[in-house]
Amino acid sequence: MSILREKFLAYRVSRYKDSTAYGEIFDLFADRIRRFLAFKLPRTEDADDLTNEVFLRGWEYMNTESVANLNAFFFRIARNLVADFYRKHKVTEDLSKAAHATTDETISDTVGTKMESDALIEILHTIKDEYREVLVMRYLSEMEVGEIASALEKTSNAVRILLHRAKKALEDKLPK
Amino acid sequence: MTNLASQLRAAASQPSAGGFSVEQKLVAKRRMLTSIGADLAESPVSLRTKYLIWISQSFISRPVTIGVAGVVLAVSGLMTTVQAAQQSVPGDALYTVKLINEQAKLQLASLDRKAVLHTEFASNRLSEIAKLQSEPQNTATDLVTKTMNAYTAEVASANKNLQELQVSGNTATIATASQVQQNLASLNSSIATAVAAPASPEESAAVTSAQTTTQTVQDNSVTVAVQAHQDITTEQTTADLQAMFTTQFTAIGARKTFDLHRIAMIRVALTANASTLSALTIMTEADLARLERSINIAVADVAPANDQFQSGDYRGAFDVLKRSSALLRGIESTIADAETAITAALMNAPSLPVIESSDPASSEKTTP
Repeated sequence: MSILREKFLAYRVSRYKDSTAYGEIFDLFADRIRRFLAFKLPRTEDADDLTNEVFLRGWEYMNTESVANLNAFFFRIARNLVADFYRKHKVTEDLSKAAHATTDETISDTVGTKMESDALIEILHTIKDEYREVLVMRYLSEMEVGEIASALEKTSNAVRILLHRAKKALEDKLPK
Repeated sequence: MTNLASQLRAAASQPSAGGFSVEQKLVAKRRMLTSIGADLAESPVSLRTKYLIWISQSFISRPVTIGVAGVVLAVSGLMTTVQAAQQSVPGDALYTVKLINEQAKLQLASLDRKAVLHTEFASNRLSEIAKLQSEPQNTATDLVTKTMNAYTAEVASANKNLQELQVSGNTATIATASQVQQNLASLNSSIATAVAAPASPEESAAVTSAQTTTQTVQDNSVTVAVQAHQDITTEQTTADLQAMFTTQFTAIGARKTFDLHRIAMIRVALTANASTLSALTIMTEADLARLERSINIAVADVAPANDQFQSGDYRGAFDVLKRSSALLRGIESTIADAETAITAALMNAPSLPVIESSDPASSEKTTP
């Protein structure tokens, strides 16, 4: 996405409290944030709630301060909210299992490819958090390495290495 | 690996992959907008205005501010350099800057201004020569010769500009010629003082050449003025020519007064310090009286010249002034020699004489 467009939108929000612009920002980032949250949180409803919360906090902050990197900004809020969420709910592995149950229910059509994809996502849930995060960002959210780096507050090189290891880890878990 | 990547990509649209479906996203957006309390009323500021302001703040302001600041810095830095260069003499690192600055001024000037500028630059060359000579560590003696030649070139350029000016029939010709003549007159008497003792035959040749050129151009400026008046005789040109004549006329009167005063001072100095100075036989009372007489003779024709000018003989009137001026210059150099000798003698004397305070001042300043 165009960095200039992003900056102009951010300017409209901070200077004019322009909710139309914020709507466009939502369109740009909501998907990746929700996906990030969906893999972190037990239930889709939680992901929806927290996505809403991320953008609500983002709006409040951006009305007073200027934000240089929107991508990194929203991911930071999201990470903090996830931490808050687990602190509040004292959630354990069980919830994570429950999440799979709910997602399973939502599958209506049982087409072969979908089965495969779901199986892949199942496996994705079994690898390290760190690895899952980058794989989701890179391949499900289609983020660039630079964007992932800013979201995770890591260097691009660190993200590349992480991606490499994550792919290896996932491959090892795939049925031979 | 690539297979894995494409498999993952294919899984992206699955509900379990955490992404929004189109409807979900719309719902979520509406929810988000409601929770931020968005009023969907049209913003009073148009998008275009916002865009322009944003552009001006983020893209124009920053680079332009930096650019402007850079230019200001560069220019102020340059100005400082140029100012520092004003003090430079040939052989200095900054001297080129000074010359470039002069060239820049010339490029910007109109023809009439150019002529005057050249005389001003000639004056710069003379002060440089004086500075060069006041610095004994300055061993590159040919610098003086070179600078003197540069002076001559400036004067010649002024002459060239004046002639071009006359040919072009410019209305400012006479005023410019007058200005040039005036500047050159003061330069003419400064040349001898700038190079009091030529160090080499080349140097003394350069001085002679400079003096000759200055005198020639000075004469020529009068010719140009008279010629220009002949070409275009209007009230304005006559007034200009009259002004030029009056300036020269007054200058000679002032020089006469000043020179007589200098002789009087020499007389006082000689009397007051008779014991110290008598042995040197710098000048006798008879010499001083002769000088006074010569001055009076030199300027005797000046008053009638005014009538001559009024009657229409402009050329003749200016010639009279020129003759008087040349005579006075000869007398002045004799006076200057005497003053230098007296000052030198008194400086070496054990007790500080009374007259010392005023005498060097007059010997340094040879023109009124």
